[in-house]
Amino acid sequence: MESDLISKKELLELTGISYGQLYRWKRKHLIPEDWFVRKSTFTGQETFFPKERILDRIEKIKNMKGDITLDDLADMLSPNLMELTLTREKLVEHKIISKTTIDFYTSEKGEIHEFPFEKILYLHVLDKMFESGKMNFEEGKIILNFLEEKYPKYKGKNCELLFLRKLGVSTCCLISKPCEIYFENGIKTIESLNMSDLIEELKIKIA
Amino acid sequence: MLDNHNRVDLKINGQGTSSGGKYNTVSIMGEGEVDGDIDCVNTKIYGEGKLVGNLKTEKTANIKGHTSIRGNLEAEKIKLQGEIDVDGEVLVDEATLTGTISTSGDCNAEIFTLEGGFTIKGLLNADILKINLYWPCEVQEIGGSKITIKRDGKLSFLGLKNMIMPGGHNELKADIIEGDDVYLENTIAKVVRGDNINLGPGCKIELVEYKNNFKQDKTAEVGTKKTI
Repeated sequence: MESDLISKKELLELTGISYGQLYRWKRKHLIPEDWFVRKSTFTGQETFFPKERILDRIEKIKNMKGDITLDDLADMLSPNLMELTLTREKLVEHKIISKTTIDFYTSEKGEIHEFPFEKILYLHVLDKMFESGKMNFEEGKIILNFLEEKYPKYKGKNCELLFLRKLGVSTCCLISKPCEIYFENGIKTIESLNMSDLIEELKIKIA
Repeated sequence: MLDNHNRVDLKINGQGTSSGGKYNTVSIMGEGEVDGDIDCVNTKIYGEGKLVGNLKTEKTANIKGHTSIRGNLEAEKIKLQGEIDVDGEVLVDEATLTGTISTSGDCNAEIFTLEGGFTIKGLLNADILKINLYWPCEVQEIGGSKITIKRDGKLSFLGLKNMIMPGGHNELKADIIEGDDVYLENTIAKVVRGDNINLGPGCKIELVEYKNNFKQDKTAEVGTKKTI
């Protein structure tokens, strides 16, 4: 899935950051350990990174580091969930979650006033899928129930949500990353969502 | 953050064991063994400490003598005089070490000052790294912004050792060294990369890749060098 790699040398040249900065960010866990891919080349050992993700991450760090401290930034970028709750009104008001999705949730699970971060994350997933038109409400139920039941097992780990369809029947699964997974031809992957990326997105939205 | 009022001290004087837990100050004077994780504010180990779990110290870990830690070591500051073995990773802000340190995982610090020797099986990652070699050192990878590696400093507290064992060179062996400003002495490495690289006496480097400046002592051996 992520075959496009960039070497450390190229990365530094492209982004204009120094070794010191890169190692500092690694120390602060701003760049996840599993992005460092060690490979032997003819010039000896070299470190590579998944190109798009690292460039995106460095761009983000560069943009945000003036406003907040590196430690806060690390919290924001880590796949750990935040400890906070938001009211339904806040979510709609700050356009974190659309009203339709919240209404969908309340019709399914009943009225709740305060949404903990975990729930906001699930809603964010649904929101994305509804918005892109890749899923209907009926399928939304499957995903919501599935996430509520199984996602806590992945807490703090990097995982991906796959939404699949075969002959009109849809299903979903969670896989831990990095991993390789292959399906038979009849199965269409409608959407794959990286949960860590979503958490990051959400944290930035809320902050 | 921590409600330190509810925490008590753990003291082992002489010989004793503990099962770990949350404490204010942990002090071991003599010989102590701890069979679980420790989460505390300050740690003092004078003598011999054997920790089977992780050691997490909010402030300073002061270690004199010999200590082994089966898990990770996390602290704001660590001061060492003697020897420390860590099976996991080391995560500190400031490390001032006199003696030897060996870790099986990575070693992370903002400021890392060492007089002595080390064996680090992973990455030694520090912003400012100052090492005086008194003992043979081995590490897989070093990364940071300012890296300075020198052989015995002026304060040769082990100068005697060199008189007893002449020819026993204190070398640093590494696969990769990467930093912004790198100064090396007595270092054997496969690759050294950086903005400014200065190789002092006794270096043997297979490949040097530099951006701005490169200097080398006439006794330093360099295989290939190129600019990036």
